Amino acid sequence: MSTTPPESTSPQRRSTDTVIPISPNALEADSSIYKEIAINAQDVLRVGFVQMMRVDWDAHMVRVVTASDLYEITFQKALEQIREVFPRWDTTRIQYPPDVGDWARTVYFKGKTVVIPTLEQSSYLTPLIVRLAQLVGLRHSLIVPVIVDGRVLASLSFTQRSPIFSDASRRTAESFAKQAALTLENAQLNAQLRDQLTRLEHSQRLAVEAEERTRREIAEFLHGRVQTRLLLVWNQLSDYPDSPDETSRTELVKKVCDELERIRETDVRQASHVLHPSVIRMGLVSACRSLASRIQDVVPVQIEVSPGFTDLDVIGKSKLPEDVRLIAYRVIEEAIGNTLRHAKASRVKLNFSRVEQDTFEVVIQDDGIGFDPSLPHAGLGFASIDARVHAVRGSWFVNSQPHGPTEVTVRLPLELH
Amino acid sequence: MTSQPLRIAIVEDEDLFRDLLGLALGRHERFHVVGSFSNSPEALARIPKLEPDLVMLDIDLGGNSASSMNGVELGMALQKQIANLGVVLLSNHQDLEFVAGLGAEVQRWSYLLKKSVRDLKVLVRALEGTADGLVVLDPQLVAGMKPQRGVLSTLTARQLDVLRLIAQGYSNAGIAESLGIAAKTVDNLTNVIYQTLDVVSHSASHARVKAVLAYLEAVRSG
Repeated sequence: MSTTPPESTSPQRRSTDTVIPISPNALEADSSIYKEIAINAQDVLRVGFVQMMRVDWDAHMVRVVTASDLYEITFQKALEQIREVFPRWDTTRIQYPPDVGDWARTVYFKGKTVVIPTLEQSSYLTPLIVRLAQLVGLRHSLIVPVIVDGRVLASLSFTQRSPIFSDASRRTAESFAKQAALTLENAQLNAQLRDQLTRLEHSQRLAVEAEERTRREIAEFLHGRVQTRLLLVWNQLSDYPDSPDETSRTELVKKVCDELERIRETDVRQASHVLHPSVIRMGLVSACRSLASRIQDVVPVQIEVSPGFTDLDVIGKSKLPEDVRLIAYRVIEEAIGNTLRHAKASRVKLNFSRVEQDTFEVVIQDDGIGFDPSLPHAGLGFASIDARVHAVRGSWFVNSQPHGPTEVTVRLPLELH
Repeated sequence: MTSQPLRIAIVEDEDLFRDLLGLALGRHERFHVVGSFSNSPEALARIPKLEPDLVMLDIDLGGNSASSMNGVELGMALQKQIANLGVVLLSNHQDLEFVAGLGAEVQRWSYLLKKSVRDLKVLVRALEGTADGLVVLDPQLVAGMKPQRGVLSTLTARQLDVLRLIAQGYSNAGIAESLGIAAKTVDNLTNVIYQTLDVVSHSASHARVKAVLAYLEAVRSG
């Protein structure tokens, strides 16, 4: 998509020493794109002044985004005179509602081009700016809507000395507005893309951080607890030759065996489960039942499964890809972890259902003390859930209030793309 | 019980464990190891010709090729080719979820933890029970089955003891001996358990299988 209009016809006007740039105060972040449009439009149409206005429909206000530079010697002189009296005077501070007058309604609501015969009739310019325009003889404006996806998002105004805008220049102005629309759309898409990329990077970073945290915990667990226990066993075994009789030797061997069994059964199994819950192979609900049975002494977890989801997550033959199951499982684990850490809950309820053709939903509910979701710290425990869910383009939300209950709802796609 | 030794094939991808298991079974007069394999494609190709009564399958059979199966899949595939084949699944997972749902897939199956294999009594009970058409669960797995709510909470402690032993493949005589009560008492207790779990069946062994599956389901959904 090209953003450059036809070749500039008067490059000599670009010399910097004759240019008074418009104050950048009111310009948006992507103003350079708009500025280029205005300058190019001015060059192509050979008019005195081009302004681009942006419509902020939420605020019901039209604001100057940018304007072509003012090259006219007379304009410069007039501007200098005005600035002697009003040093901070700024032509870009103009703003007006999109229904300020008949012409404005035609442009912004009907999406049609209008000509304002004289600037005095514009009904939005301050007397000062009208005076300025009169000084330099610019008094007739052609205003063209810039339409993106059927919505008027901006306008271009072309102001000149002559009251006559030929059909040809009108058409040129309109095709220019179309080009501006493409540029604008493109800029919006780019901004969206940037936004998505930033979010993706953020979520990936969080996911990586979560992985790293898990690894560090397991490393500490292996290095600390498991190693210490193994050392104890080793120490006990080294007493074996010194044992006084058969009975104490048998006792020692039994103690060592029991201790090894405990290490194998509790520690190794626990660490292995944190790294990868192998029961996920049997299905998401199976993995959650297994989780529930492991924590049943801490908090009872009740599991409800809708018939639609049972058909999907058949034990041992789940139609959900294992990746998806694993993400859902980690999110549930995280949510229950939050509950255990903060909620003082007496029970947790999980509900699985299929909500659409390609989506399923897990609701994790607890009867704990709840929290105010609007408080900033409330979101902290959810960062990792957010990262995991967004990484697969799912969605989630939390519903809570002081005194509870708290409900985390997660929606995930049935397949990863 | 027949005098012929049970013909057993082993499929296990851990070499050491496979050898130890083969040795242990080979020493026992009731068993005859007809073959042992380390992967599912080879096992599937060769086991049917060996005509075993039982296969012992590692539930976590590895392998990356498209044709490789896990123990459950291999068991199902073999049962299609060999009539009345009993499947003993060997597992490191002391987790009911691995057992849940098996009843709908496999007949004549049992679930044994690998660490229980060193206990010969447990091993023999599982193998013979499976060959007789029972479903036998690992004792440690059964010990971890804690009924919370539902139908099981209506059973007395004694009835629950009996049910646990049924799940481990004990006969009524074995239960009577283990609990030190009369065989007649065990029969009565068993009947009450069947009624409570809503088990109706034409044969005694079938009733036992149904009771074990009902027990499993009740614990999981509790």
